[in-house]
Amino acid sequence: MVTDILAFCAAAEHELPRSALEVLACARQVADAWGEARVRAVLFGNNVASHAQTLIAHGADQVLTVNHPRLTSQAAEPMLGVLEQLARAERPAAVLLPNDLLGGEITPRLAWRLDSGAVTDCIGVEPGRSPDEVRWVRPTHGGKAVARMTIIGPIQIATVRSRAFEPRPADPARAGEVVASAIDVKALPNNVTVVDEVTHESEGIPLEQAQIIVSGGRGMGDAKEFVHLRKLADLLGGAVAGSRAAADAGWVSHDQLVGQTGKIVAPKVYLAVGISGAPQHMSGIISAKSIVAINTDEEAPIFKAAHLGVVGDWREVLPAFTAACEQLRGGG
Amino acid sequence: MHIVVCVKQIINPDTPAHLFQLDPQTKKQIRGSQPLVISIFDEIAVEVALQFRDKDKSATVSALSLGETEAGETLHHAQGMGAGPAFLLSDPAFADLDAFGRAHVLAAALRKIGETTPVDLVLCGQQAGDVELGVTGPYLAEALGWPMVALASNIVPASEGRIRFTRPREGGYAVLEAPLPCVATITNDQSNVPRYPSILGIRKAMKTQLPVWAAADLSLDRNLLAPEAARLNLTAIETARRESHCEFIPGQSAKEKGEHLAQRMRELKLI
Ligand SMILES: Cc1cc2nc3c(=O)[nH]c(=O)nc-3n(C[C@H](O)[C@H](O)[C@H](O)COP(=O)(O)OP(=O)(O)OC[C@H]3O[C@@H](n4cnc5c(N)ncnc54)[C@H](O)[C@@H]3O)c2cc1C
Ligand SMILES: Nc1ncnc2c1ncn2[C@@H]1O[C@H](COP(=O)(O)O)[C@@H](O)[C@H]1O
Repeated sequence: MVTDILAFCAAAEHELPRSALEVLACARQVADAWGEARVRAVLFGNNVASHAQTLIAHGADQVLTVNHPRLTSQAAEPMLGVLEQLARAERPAAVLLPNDLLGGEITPRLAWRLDSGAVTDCIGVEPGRSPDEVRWVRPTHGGKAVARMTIIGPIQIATVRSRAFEPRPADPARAGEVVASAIDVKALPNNVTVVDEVTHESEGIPLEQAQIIVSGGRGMGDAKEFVHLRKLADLLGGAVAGSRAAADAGWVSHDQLVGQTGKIVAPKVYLAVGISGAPQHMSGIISAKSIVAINTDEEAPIFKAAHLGVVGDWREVLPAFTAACEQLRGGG
Repeated sequence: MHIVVCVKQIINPDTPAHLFQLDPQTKKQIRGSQPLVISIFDEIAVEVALQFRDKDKSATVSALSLGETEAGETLHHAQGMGAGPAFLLSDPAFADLDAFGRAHVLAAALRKIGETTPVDLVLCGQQAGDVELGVTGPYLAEALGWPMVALASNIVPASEGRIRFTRPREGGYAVLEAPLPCVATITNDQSNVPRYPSILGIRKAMKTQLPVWAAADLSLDRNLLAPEAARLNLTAIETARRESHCEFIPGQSAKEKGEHLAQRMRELKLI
């Protein structure tokens, strides 16, 4: 019998998210280690079948499309229902999901229903040779520890952290089948309804896409000081972000929060100003190509992870740095 | 409206990395001289419940914790913030449970609390500040058979028998509605920064008798407490290694360092 690994992909209103390809990459790694295993991407959304070929190119052996207008990015419950039916009927060995809003809700609920365990927020996997040998690797204690966990139960269910797995390069020559699911989505329970969606005017480049992020923490001292970061970000073509301390103080919006409970970002440069470098913050920037820190405290943990560091008061360092950048830019 | 907030007591999550130690036997963090605190998202969940009660004075906010005797302090903290009744679940039989077992115990306690005052809403933190699994809220929804809303940041009143939540999302927020009773997991945003507990409130709470329930006080299948009931096994845990490769930018003054930083970043083609 072929072992199936289900990879959860939700493409609801938007294009296929990068997280879908990351989950696929993890599923592929496990399948290849097990040998006789097949990766089935379960693609949820409304009229999203066009993404099926992309999923195949990135590692899926089969794409199961579940199409319905109810399947939006806010509707975990019907997706949970679909996965439960699939799992009961077809007994896959594993289900992998992204560690986001949907994955975070569906994963434990599905595990409970199938009488299995669930591991969330994995940064790695040691697949062994069969489903009962898998060890899931995940950070705990704000990144100060790394745990290896095994799931006891009939099915391996896990979520993978954003940016922990690199999507496989697309191979257009890869073959795979596309199958439409016969599950009646309309008949599935959906207790939670969206009554309103409010969108603020977003300013600047989204953090996930920014090549340069200028980020401020408690050390900025006040909301109005963020104009200096904005000025620098505009000059360098980057985005402004902040630590939890800055977000809680209202200096930056929740959308701009970087870290374990905020955005996980992967810019070319992450400039941390007045940020101590708490593990919960650092876990959001682990994939940054280079981290530059400005901090008065030479013992600040941020310098443990930073590639370039300046020990000093940002009030003096930053204006000089900004002016020098302006000059360098001006001079080409 | 009766809201029960599940609050966990954890070792200070801001324990500096050089003081962070694991016990190889128990695979748990060694407390050392670190304080025990209320898990950060649970404190936020208490705040969210209290903000609702600030608007609807008839609401009751209870706090529930599973832990050792010291976890009573965390319940007092919640009461100092303004929570009413508090319940502690403590029994050596609970000590080694995994998240699955803990959820069974919490669910049994919620049923028991509901016998006196029916529970309309259970709030859990997005994730505990130590193990960070984020599974307990969804587990409770399943154990109780209630709907759930994940990662809400605030409660909004709705029509009879229903409840609304705001949920932050990219570039804004969504308002979701669910029937009561239900479970929600709580995340942070600008609207729910926890209030400070009043010292007077904590003192008052310390004077009242805290109900402590053991396994025998709950109607709970004892098999669920057996090691074989576990669904997760922590096979290994180690402290994360971080080597420092930081290149410190030299300079006579902070201003000069700023200039040198720009030059160095240009050399490295970072800007
Ligand atoms: C479960 C959990 C989840 C969390 N999630 C996140 C998360 O997603 N993101 C996050 O950021 N945090 C998160 N935190 C909080 C985190 O632990 C820290 O409390 C937070 O990151 C601290 O923010 P900070 O570095 O801005 O403030 P602080 O730690 O107070 O650091 C301020 C720094 O500024 C420096 N400074 C002061 N003045 C100046 C000056 N004039 N010039 C230069 N430097 C100066 C100081 O030396 C200090 O290092 C979480 C915590 C928990 C428990
Ligand atoms: N021992 C506990 N006592 C009370 N509530 C808990 C306990 N463990 C977890 N919770 C609740 O469940 C949430 C998520 O925990 P976890 O699933 O362990 O990450 C926490 O934020 C608490 O609200």
